[in-house]
Amino acid sequence: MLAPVIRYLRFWGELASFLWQTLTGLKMVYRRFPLIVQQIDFIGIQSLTILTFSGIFIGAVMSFQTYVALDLFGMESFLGASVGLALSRELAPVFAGIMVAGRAGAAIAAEIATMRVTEQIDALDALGTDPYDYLITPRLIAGVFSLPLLYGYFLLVGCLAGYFVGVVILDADGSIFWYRLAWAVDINDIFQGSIKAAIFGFFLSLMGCFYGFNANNNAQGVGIATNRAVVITSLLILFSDYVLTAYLPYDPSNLIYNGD
Amino acid sequence: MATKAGSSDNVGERFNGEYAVEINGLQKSFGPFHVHQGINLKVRKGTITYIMGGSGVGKSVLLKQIMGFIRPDAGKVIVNGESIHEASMRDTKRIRHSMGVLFQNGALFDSLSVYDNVSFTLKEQLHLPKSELDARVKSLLESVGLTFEHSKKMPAQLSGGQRKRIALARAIAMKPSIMMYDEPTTGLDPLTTDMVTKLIRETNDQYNLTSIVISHDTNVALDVAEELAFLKDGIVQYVGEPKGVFSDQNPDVREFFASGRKRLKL
Repeated sequence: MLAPVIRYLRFWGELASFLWQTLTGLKMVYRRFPLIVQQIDFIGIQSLTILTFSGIFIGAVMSFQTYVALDLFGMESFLGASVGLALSRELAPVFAGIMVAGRAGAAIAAEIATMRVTEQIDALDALGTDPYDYLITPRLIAGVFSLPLLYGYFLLVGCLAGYFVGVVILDADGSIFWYRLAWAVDINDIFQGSIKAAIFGFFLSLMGCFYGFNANNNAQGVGIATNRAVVITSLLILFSDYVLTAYLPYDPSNLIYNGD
Repeated sequence: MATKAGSSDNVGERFNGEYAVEINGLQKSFGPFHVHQGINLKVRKGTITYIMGGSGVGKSVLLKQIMGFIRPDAGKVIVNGESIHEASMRDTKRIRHSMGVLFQNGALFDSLSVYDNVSFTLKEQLHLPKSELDARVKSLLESVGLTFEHSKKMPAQLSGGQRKRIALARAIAMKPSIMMYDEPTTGLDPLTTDMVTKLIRETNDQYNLTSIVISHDTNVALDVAEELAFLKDGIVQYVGEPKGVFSDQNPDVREFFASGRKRLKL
């Protein structure tokens, strides 16, 4: 009866301690600049292909479904506004976060867990290098920095795919698509989407590193660490997306339609 | 007295006491498993000491406690005159600078080349210029019987024996005074075992080290060790010269070492 509570408390205690150790590495972060760049390449640049495809499909299906619904009420001119708002506020940060968690978060967990199993982390310690400072801090910074940029890319690709499906395939008006998109989506939407993406980037790096670092010393431990990192990160992204949407300030007054 | 980290690249400046490592009444449990129940052991400076015992007796746990990776539940671990068992994180790291360790499978960093592995500590701790780094790496590789040509290779391209040599070169880069080996010959073929054993002996002499070797290879231990400790049931059952194991009063000690000899005769 008490065991799950103790396990739960221990998890949060270990996570807090892990995060604290990682944050203490920030004061020496300038020494790790090459490692941060390397991780930005891995988490950011190397995720572009998967985000291109997922952005195309999400933007396309969003445009298709929305067009069908709006057409029923003769409001297909609002297609650009719907696609732009949905992508900028919710779909782009959440899908970019989940896709990168599946690719880079899993890889981070597997790599660090393998280092744990093969005693490479003990070797770092034995050689006098702090593993948090060397392994974790650069990945955390790279995650927070990369995801807002990937969000922007996903948003662009998604809007272009939405335009293609809505205008080229379903025959909506192209100039009205972009006009309504620019009317509905303001800088605050992009800013909040970027904040969400940065937080999701923090989660995926943190959980990948945390589960990898604390993996059991066997091959099964690598699999379990990878699995948990992806599952927990995905759930955290969905949960925190709701919390952020509910509590980040949002002023939709620009959406009041006055007939122009 | 051991030097402070960073004050010199020769962290192996010698402690003047007789023993490099002193372990008194060491106890360690993991849940219901009482691994160590009062280990007492003194490792004389400059010797090659083998710590032997069957699987699961806590040999590697003992090594990790000497390194300060694991804290004991009770007892003392004194390294070069300093208590590592109760040292702060910062002091533990400083004391650890006087120790090098060769892990079971080398624990080379997979994503780094041989050059980057061997020069890792030199770059991290000393920030040496490239020309000096090259010279140091060349010298370290030669001291373990390899050439500078190997420095461009990745760990995946090396044989088991080469990995151990590179790991040893990396471990001795900062000139430690104590070198620890965790199962250095496990999983190696007889020729490579001979090579690694010879390397342990040569490195000990060349760098004036104290070597602690964790192993269950009785034949190699009887051949190489100057001191030998045998662990069973959470305590040290025998400590002394190798030749004494066959005449020891404890039947567990005689039986363990005789089994290795029997296998050799077969």
